[in-house]
Amino acid sequence: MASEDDLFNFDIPGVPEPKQDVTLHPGQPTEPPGVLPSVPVARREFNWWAVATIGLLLFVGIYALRSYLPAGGSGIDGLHVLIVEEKDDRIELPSEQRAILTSQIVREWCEVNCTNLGTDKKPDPAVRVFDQDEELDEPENKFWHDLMLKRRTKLPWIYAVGGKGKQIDQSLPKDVDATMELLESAK
Amino acid sequence: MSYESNLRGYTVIDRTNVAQFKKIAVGRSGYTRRPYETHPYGGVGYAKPFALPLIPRAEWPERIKDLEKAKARLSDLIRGAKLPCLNQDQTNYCWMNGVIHAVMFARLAAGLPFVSLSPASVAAKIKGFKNVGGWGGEAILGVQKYGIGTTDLWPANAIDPRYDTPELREVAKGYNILEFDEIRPRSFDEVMTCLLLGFPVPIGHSWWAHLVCHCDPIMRGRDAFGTRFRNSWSEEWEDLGFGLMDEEHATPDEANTVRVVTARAA
Repeated sequence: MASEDDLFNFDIPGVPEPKQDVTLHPGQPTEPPGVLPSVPVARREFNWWAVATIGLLLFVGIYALRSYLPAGGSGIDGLHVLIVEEKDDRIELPSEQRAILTSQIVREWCEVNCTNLGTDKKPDPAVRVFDQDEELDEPENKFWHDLMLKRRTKLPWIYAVGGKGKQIDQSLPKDVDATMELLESAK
Repeated sequence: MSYESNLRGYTVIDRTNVAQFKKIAVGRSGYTRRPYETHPYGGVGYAKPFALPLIPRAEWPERIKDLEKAKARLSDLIRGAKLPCLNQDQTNYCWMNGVIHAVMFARLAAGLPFVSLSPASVAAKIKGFKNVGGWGGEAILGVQKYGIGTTDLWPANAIDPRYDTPELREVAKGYNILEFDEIRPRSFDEVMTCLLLGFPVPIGHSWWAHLVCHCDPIMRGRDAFGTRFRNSWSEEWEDLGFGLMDEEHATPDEANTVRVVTARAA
């Protein structure tokens, strides 16, 4: 078990040891009688190098995440949901997962919680279900176009980005209930 | 597994009542039999022949049950979005209305906003501005050639060349079909596979001289299946324009399925 001394051993390589006042010889008591034993002083200097390194890593990490999602978290104006699939492969999906793609339960939730890309008169909730080969005209569909270009490790895939919660970027859950739970976390 | 869809008391077209449905279609249809002699299955080139594996009948009840539980039938989306039902009115353009319905349903399933599309903007051009019948493949060829105009530029049933303006032609390019599959004639199993997967199927029915767009699989009891379709006789007809057919009458003389449409938002 570590001693108290070990716990406070904050030695930093390259920093010289402080000079000892007492020269020790074999067989000599370590402290003069009547003097309290000396305790190594824990050096708790603030490590600016470590803080700077951690800060730099955090900055690089956040920057990389922002570039991975189109506008990145709070940079997107409201919640957008995109499911990407291969329609030729719909037949291979378990029945409960296939149902997510056209579920009115999911669409109703999106109508309430996704941002409206249209007008009050002609609403257009920001939810799309696209085949991976969908041809999107870039200027009109810039956001969806960029999102479709992202690399995915499998299909179907779901994105739910721009909400106040988690930024979702993962394979589609197994059924409608699990999808609703996921979307709630992105709201 | 025995399962029965909730059919809410609406009539299912079957042998017992088919005469009555034939009678009401007189003057409100327009489907002419596809000339398979000159336009054989898989040989027209506008769509690929159906190539998916079939979903076995034994799986249909469970899958229908899952779709109904998750409200994942196309009719659930249509009702939820209050998507208007087309009305071919005095035209003989059912063959185009059914295909345009399929495009509208595919747009809805992709989450694209509602755009009012004009069947006559395509059908009239194909038929040289005559009010005559046609078949589904003709409609698809026309859509691929001209695109679909919007009703703000060409009223839904107007057979008038004055609407064929450069602006209309430009707008129509944004509403097209990218992926169609051609279904083997008389294959109810292929129709059901498409419907179970959420793909709309415009079907030409020679017995009715009418083409309508089928959207849901239904279960009527043990080993008894059928379909829900949307007619082009407005929301006044049956259940907001939706009707039901048994397997015998839903079996296609000609059918296609719409899978991918142009993703133009508005």
